[in-house]
Amino acid sequence: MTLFALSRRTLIASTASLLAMVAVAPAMAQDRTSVTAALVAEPASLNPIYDTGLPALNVFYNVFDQLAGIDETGAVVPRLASEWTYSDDLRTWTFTLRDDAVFHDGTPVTPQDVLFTYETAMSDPTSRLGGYLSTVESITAEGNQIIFTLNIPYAPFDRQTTLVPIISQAAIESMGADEYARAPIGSGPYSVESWVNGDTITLNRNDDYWGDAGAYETVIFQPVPDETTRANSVQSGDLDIALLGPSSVPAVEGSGSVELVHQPSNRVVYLGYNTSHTWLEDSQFRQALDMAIDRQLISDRLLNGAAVPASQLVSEVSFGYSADIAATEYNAEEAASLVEASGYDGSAIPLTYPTTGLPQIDQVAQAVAFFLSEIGVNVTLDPLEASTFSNTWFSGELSGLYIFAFAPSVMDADLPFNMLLRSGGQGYANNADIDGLLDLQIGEADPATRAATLAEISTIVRDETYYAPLFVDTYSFAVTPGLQWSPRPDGMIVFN
Amino acid sequence: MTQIVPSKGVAAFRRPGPQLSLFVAIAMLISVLLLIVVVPFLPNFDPDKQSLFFALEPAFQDPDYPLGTDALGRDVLSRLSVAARVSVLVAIGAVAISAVVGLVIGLVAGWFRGAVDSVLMALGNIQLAIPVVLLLIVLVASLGSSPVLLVVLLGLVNWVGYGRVVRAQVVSLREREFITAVTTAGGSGWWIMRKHLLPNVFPAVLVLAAFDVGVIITVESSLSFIGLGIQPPTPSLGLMISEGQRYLQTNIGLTLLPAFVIFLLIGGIQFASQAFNKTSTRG
Repeated sequence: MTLFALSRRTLIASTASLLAMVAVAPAMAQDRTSVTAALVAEPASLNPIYDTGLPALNVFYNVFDQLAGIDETGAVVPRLASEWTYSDDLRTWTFTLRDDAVFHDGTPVTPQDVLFTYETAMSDPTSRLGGYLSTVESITAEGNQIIFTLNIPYAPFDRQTTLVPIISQAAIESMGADEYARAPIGSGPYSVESWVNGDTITLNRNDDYWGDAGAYETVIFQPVPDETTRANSVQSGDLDIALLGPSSVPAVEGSGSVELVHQPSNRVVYLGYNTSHTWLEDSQFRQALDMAIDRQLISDRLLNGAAVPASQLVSEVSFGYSADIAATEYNAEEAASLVEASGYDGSAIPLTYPTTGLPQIDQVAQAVAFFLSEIGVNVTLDPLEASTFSNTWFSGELSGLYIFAFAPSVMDADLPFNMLLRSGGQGYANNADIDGLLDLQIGEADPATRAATLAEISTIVRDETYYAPLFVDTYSFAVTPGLQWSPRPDGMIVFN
Repeated sequence: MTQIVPSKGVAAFRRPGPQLSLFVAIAMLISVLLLIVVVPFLPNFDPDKQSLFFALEPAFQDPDYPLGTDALGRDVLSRLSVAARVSVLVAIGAVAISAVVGLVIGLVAGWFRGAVDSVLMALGNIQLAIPVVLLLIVLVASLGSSPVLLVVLLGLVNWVGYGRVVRAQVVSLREREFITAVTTAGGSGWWIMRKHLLPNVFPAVLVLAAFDVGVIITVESSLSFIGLGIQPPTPSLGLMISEGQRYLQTNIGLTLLPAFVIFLLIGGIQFASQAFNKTSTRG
């Protein structure tokens, strides 16, 4: 009896406190000063020259300014440069630096800092940015203008500058490179307060920011690589924003405690062919594989609709996307007859894929292998650890079929097309027409003509089936209700 | 590995007698055996057939998929059957390798003593100092993963327990009169090991091996869980748990069912050996 009374009293007390919490919650959302967001991995360095991974870039978008930025629609917009012009031959680009930008230590951002950043990025042998800047021949400063001279006409150069966060020369020289890599001085809307390895990166609002002020006083980034952990942490309130895996979406949706935000992404998951493989050499055979995969079914049933069948190697948000190309229709009968016509002897074709980094990749690979087995093509799965895979991909040594993805941060087709399609690049197209068109578009100043040329490349890729584009990812974020935040197609979590 | 001996504290509790626990153990093992042997003869048996239309069906709802389907619409019952078979075969293969390696090393070390003994037992101690799962992760990550390689690796990292038990027995046996008799009669070391020592140490090795099957099944499941063991599309119990983890909140059966099969297997083996232990120490 006493036991019952006690438990009832406790129950009433806890219910009362629960009610109080519910009443307080909306008020808390209003006055919330800090927000905790998940990164899918921990950056290796916070010095932008030495880490270009997406998790690091996400921190840099909050801590640094680039000359130009990419907005939430994928368009290129002024950032540290208030404006820029280019010569008719697209080889001289002049950026005008804004005069009200200051670093977090109070010193102004000068053209010298921009020169220092670019020169370090291009000359330091350990720089990860060098590859993006191979077109830059020289860079000079005149007054508040920075002048780039390029070795080829390069139409999307302004987009390329969005990858280079401007660092402070004075700070890096006084702090030393190691210290700067842990707590860098930038000029962005947030400054780095601390980085506890494996745990948190804490940012403070920069109240002297020239542009839109940060929405929260404190931003905490927490690396949480596991999808399921991210989903659980957001529901328990440990995280305020987390990218979800497609399989977590129904459970999070059902819990009702958090909001779900969906954003079509810039990432295209594709099936690649090594065209020097005995059977994949035949474009009819490649076409058969392309038709054998029921993208809509995989998207609806396996990925919970969090993917849209892809028609080409770039998504709708990227410059160069062609609305005239449709995703390949599923047609198993025709695929099977094409395979039969090719004389395929049933020998196994390896399907290589990275074990992490793409949504439900192991299951997608098994589904693709199964669809191919349904038209009589024998596929063996060959999962590789993610870094081994990307090295093998980079050196062009994938032997048969492979699944990978491209998400161009610059939101322009030039970068993925050059890597995936140019002869001698990371793909296996080896088509002189494509190489010619790639050269043509890069020197084309008129955006409409350039877009048409890029579309023409996508048409050749479709006709020759150099790739089977599978899906455009949808990024699904679980977000604490009432948060002031909107997603971007590049998946970056930005708070201003 | 280590032998589980019921402590006095545990024995003081009222526990079911050996008859009951033996009965439970046999029931558990028979149910796994039925899963492995009978399920492949069911009309709907197909562990690889995907039907995305029927993905993620819960258990006990559709007679075509008695235990439901996974995210790719594959029959969970069929996959459990193959996974249990794979786990058991891998474990038996690995245990056979470690038993043979341990037996040979233990015989040699115990019979020759001296420097040979010191070196072999030092090797064993060095290997014991490295956690087995960690060692396996390094080996599998660098050598790649195939079922045969997995059996060999699991077998090779696990010989020390056998080596020690066999050596200890040989050390005591070699002082016994019947061995002295054979030696004086001119029997060679090789002859003695094969004809007189081996039959005497064999029962101990068998008991140890029965225990070890359960341990190896857990190790293999752990490796498969972290993606280093059996590779898809071949099902394995650990791999199925790992795949089911994504659906913990919506389809908990995908995780619970393979976990339950592991429980049946290891629980069965442990209960059986405990019951066996109790009966044999009592008599």
